[in-house]
Amino acid sequence: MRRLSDLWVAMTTRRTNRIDATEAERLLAGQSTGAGDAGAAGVAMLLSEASAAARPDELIGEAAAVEDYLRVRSAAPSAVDISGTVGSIVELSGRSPWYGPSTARTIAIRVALGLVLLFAIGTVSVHFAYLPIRMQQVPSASSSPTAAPSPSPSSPEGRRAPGSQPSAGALPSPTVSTGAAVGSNAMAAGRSADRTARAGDTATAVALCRTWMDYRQDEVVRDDAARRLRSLMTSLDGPNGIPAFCRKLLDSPVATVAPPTAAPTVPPTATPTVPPTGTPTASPAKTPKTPRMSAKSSPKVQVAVTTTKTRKSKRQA
Amino acid sequence: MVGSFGAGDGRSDDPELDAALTAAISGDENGFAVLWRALQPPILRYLRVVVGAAAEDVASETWLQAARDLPNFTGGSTAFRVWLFRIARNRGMDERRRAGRRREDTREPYDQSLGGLPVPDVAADVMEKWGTDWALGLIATLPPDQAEAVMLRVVAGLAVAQAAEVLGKRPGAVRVASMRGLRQLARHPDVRARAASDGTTGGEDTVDEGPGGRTSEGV
Repeated sequence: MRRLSDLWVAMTTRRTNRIDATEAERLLAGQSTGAGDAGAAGVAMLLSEASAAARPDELIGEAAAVEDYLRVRSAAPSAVDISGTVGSIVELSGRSPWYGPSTARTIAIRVALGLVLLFAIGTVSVHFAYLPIRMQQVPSASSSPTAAPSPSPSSPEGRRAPGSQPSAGALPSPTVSTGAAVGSNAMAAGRSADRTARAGDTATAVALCRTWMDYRQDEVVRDDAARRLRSLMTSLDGPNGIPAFCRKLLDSPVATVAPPTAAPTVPPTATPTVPPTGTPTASPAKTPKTPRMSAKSSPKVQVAVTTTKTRKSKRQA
Repeated sequence: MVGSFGAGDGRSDDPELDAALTAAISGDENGFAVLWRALQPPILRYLRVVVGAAAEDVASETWLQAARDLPNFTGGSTAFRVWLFRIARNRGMDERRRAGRRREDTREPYDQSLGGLPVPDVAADVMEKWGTDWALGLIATLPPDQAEAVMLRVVAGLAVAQAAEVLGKRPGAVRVASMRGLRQLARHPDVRARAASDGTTGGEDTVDEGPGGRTSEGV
């Protein structure tokens, strides 16, 4: 009987270290004093002390807190809102941020700088994106002069009867000048001159020689000038006679009289080895040994001499 | 028994604090001052358990963050309390990380010697022995999750769901942590001595005599 009594006591004894969930909630809510249980009672007292009314030393710093509040509210809205928004987003998300308030501001500044940099790069990219288009619209200095068709001997502009004096209306009169220009424009100007029927074979020859001498490093411009000279001066024997002919022509008084016409355009790669005045300062690389024509006279002089001899012969007869 | 901080279950808004909150959001410093006076003490006590001696600095950072983000806040006084304690906890975690790097040791942040709280001493003056600091010191000896759960429930006055929101845990986990914390406190000698000194309890165990009533041990 006694053992049953002891067993009953053991079964019904409430241990103080067995605060169950219900009692815990009541203690936490302040609804239990834990009476009858030393541990629970002590916990109830402890919780009461922990949540006691505020002490004066815990309210020190109110003025500083209000001052911080006013300073923050009067700060720049953009800077404050950015960092604050970042922080508030993290705070409201419930996650513990890995950064503090100062780091959030730094992140916001870096993001803003990155956006500015992207905008600048994008603006520059758009600007340069249009450059090729704009550049394409401008006649390229590096464009090959061969793109513009040059008058060939078979073309109407370049066809002439062998040995015949080219008429003023049909003679090519390239618009050449002593200045640098694109070769394609020079040939185009020459064709234009043909159509407008420029007069003055001498002036034309002088201009062509100047072009040939100035741009003899540029094959396209040089060959075009040579072709025109041969069409003008049929006595010129191939391209080899042109250097000596042009050198003498330009050294003669005739070159000073014949005014240069419109400046031909040459490729920027063409580096004339003579000054724009047209006076050759250097002899051509290849000098023909036996030019057909006299080194002392121009074709025009030979024609004049021939005429004079003919008249003399007629007198003698 | 529970003080003013734990009054209520935290689920209902306080009209006075609601009005102050509205004013503070609008830029009224008086409204902000009312909020500060109401919530600074619980914030400070919570941080004393979390970060110890750096509680005041972290509390200042908390209010600064709150003042900066206040224009973007929407909700009542209860939501504001949850939001404020979440900021405080996050700032506290930052401080613990900084303190850990400074000390470069593995000491628990709840070490009372680091927290500046007096170690409970039964020989000390009664007022100091059973005061708020004594209570906070004992709570600080609990494991971090239990200590935070108890503080948020009792000192911050938050309900289970609200405390769970601050801690980033499920409500059930917060409830279990709270219960385990109270059980551990109940076994502490100082806690039992506190009850004994007050003459509240009648002994170690209380025996239920069944339907007839309760009888004390020894009968």
